Amino acid sequence: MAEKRTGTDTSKKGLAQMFKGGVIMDVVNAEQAKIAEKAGAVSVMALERVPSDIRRDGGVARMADPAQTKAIIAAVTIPVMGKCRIGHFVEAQVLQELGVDYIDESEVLTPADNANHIDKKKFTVPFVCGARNLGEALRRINEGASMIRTKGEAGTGNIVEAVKHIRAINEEVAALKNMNDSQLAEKAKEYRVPIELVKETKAAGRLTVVNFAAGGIATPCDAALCMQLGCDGVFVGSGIFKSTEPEKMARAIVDAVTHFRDAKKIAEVSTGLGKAMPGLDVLSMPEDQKLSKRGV
Amino acid sequence: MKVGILALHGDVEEHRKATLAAAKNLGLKVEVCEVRTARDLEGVTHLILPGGESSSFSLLMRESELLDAIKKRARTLKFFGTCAGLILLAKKFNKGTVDQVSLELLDVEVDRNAYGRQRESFEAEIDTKLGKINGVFIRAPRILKLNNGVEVLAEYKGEPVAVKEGNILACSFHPELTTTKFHELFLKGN
Repeated sequence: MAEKRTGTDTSKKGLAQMFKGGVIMDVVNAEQAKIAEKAGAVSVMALERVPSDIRRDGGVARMADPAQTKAIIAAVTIPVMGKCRIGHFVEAQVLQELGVDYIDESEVLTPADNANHIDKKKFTVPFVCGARNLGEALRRINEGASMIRTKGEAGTGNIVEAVKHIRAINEEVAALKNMNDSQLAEKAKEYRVPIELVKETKAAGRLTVVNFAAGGIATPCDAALCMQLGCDGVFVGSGIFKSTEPEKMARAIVDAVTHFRDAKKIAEVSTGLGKAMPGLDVLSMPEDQKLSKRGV
Repeated sequence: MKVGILALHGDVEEHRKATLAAAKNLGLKVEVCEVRTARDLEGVTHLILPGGESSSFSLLMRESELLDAIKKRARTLKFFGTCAGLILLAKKFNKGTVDQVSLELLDVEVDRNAYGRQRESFEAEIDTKLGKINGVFIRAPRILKLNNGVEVLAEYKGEPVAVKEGNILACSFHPELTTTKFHELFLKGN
């Protein structure tokens, strides 16, 4: 009998494939994790504070206390993700040790390395990374990311940046279609990735890994918008537990993602949800406060 | 024949591609559709329950009319479940969420996520009655017990990982990621 191989590319990308069409929710404790699971989340993201609180508090945002992550893992049966700082491979090692199922090398936390991302191929547990455009996405995939999400602008409850990033990736992938080999080589140089990856992306007509939306999703309509724009699923950060009725909001966003083309259903689930999280304007936001500028 | 794929979430696209490739290999004409509501079941002869999270599937199926609609057609539909799909088909399952339910059609008992968390997810060559294949096990459920009428199509380290009972086919791994053999058997019937 052949021995088993763990941490393979297929099994890492595979878990993300199982999430497609689903919602991954940010949670900071066991109680929130249970609410997310009960609402039909496909996974939860365990973190110390939701992005809007990180924004408000300022200071350095780090990996959550292991006790907090362990309590969340113990509370639910669905996969649990954990966030580490960009380039902080020791936080990633600790998250893997704790048993998290996916590691988010996240710009929402304060970067630990301004020049390097983590060499993700060294890990058994898969990684998801944020991207604003195709170059960022391909660099992360080349470093070993098994899943991509748009960065959006986390903690704002404002969908505008996520939409911008989704459209940028869509347009840049579409542009590959009519390029010849020398133009593809130029793109590979511009994106700083091997030409093979650019060619694979051209052939697939999309990113070669699962691509979720994140960063600013606050309502069922926001979530369905990202799905109709071609995303494989959505992350909801502050949008659930900063709304006035988290249980209802969580359930409604799950329904809106499953039935993302069904306006009647979305209207129904959007009714009587209480108040969505307070939003922030992104246009007037100083550039140095934009989390999406981190880790390019 | 019309193959419906439960599309509440999960690896629906991978099943669609494997189904179409299997149909091409067999020279069969197959229509594939996504099933999100009871209405989508119309005309469906074969139903695939994909990989995903069985707790979420259970919730969404119970709160829509889908669970009852599928149960009502249990005798006439042909079923194929992989990973979470196996749990949805099982008569008995352990370690589910508080109010998680299944279709209770396949006479096996399964343990959810029994092969471990993601760091224990694995690939391995497995011998099946359909030939050698590369099996991908992702936080996979384990088949603990099976009743007499259930045929074992594949084992890994002495444990059943693919089974068939009447009109139901199920795997604890994800054949849709690596082979069309199981989809071919599903479309052929026997």
